[in-house]
Amino acid sequence: MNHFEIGRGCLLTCIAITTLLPTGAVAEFKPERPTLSKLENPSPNWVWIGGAGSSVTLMDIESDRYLAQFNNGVSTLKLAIPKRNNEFYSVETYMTRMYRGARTDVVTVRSKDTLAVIDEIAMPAKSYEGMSILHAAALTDDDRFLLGFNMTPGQSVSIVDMHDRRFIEELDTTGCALVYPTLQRRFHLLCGDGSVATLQLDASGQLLTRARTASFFNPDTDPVMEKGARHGDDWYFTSFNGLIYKVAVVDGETQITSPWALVSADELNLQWKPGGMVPLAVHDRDNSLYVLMHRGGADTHKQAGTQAWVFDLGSNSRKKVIRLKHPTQSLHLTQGKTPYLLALSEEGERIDVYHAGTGEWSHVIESFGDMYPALFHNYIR
Amino acid sequence: MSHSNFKPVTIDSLAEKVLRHVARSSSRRGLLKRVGGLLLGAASIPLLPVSRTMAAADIPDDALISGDGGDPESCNYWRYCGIDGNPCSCCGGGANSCPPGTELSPIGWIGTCKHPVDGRDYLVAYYDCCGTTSCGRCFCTSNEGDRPVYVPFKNNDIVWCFGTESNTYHCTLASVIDVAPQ
Repeated sequence: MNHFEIGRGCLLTCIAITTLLPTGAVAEFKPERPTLSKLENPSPNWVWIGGAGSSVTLMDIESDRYLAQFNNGVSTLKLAIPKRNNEFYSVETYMTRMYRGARTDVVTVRSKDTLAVIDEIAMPAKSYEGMSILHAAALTDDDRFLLGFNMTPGQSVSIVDMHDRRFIEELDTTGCALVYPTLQRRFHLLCGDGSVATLQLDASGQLLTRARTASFFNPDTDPVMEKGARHGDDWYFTSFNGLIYKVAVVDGETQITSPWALVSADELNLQWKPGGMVPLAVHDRDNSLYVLMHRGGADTHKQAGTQAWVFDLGSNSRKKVIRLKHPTQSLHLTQGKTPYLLALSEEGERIDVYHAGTGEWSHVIESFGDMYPALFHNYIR
Repeated sequence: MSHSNFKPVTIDSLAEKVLRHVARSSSRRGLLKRVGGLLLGAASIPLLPVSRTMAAADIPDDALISGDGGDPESCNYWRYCGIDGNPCSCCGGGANSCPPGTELSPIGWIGTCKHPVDGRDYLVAYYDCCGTTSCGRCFCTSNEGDRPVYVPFKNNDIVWCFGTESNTYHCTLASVIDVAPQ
């Protein structure tokens, strides 16, 4: 239909009509239909951000792009991300009347693409609650069993079969806390007598072996922080005063290497110490350990750090000092070709992003959802 | 104990033994990092049932203290040397009482605080009041003597609302329970 063939007498009216009403040409117009976005083409720089509060946010750290969010009940963040499946797990607590009523603890299974809830598995309502920590839940290395640390304040670990979607058993771990998985369905726990316990599950998730090292640190005089970092099959821990211990499994036995010091004698005199909420991070490919450091006296093990010291894990020597723009409570590293160091500020209002290789500051992320952030997890393991 | 004339807030003998043991190893420690709305372990705590009967006698008199050390709404209040949270005195309760609408947790934490006037060290038990989200006022924190989670009774990261009907942390009170062992 040609609008310009219409006579002048009705020009204004026709203009109005053709503007407002569908015509033959407009009838062929295909209107938009709202859709549901999927998470596609994930990047190694996609990072989950969470802590206290009920929301967990996924951000592309490189582009400062907000990607998605889910809610995890009334619990602190306890994520477990499998290496192989297109799903991920979150240990969550719910009450029937929000803050009162019957308590239910579950492992929620979500799709990594849509974040849709695929399944949930009930587990004992004993999950650890406290300040956010990365080691309250984890998967065995074969992705088969979820390990959920409990405190009532009795200590135990719940074993959940993620393949068969069922709770299996609760293992008493009295005196030992948190979960640090390693090879062959083993996991370590740190113990109050200064030792490490190592438990191993069989293929059905039943306890196969339980062993304990000799005490190797003094929890009263220089305790090992429970905030460790994994590199390969080994776990690294720092003491309050900056001694680094490596926990490794050698020929089926847990061994503790002789500690080495983060600080020189001069730095010790200047009271340089590790500290913060997440004080350690490892860059796997670079074989590097990043440590959040501050200057402070006794009992400053949770103080925000002002520098990140980077150590080569082959030589145990320091190779870089990154001066942080703001006092930092948590460190995190992405592991892609362009790795970034994330530094969460003391008050939790900003994440400074540094190039991990050079230590050069890149940009800041200041809007990442409604939560009290504390922890990071890479979207891709 | 040689302080037979002291009339503390009552706790049962087992709880007292455990808590005093903890207290001996640290003169001042943080209690709990608090985050509003967190829920805690709901299992009951059979080992540490606590009954509380305030006794006025021999409790140090705050009126003798000048300045912040005698102000229950200040983090410098002498009883709060081991606190890590929101003092209930800022939240509608008192230094030794939970606010309306909350529930007193049956398990406590011990600090050893020096009274600024008489110079004596007292054992102070800290208890959580639970049942509504964090009061968020007067947040006071200390990590002195704090130990990692694997030493739970010396750790102030754990949320200690165990054994309560409602497991949501609101605030913390401080009860003077005895004179500290020398």
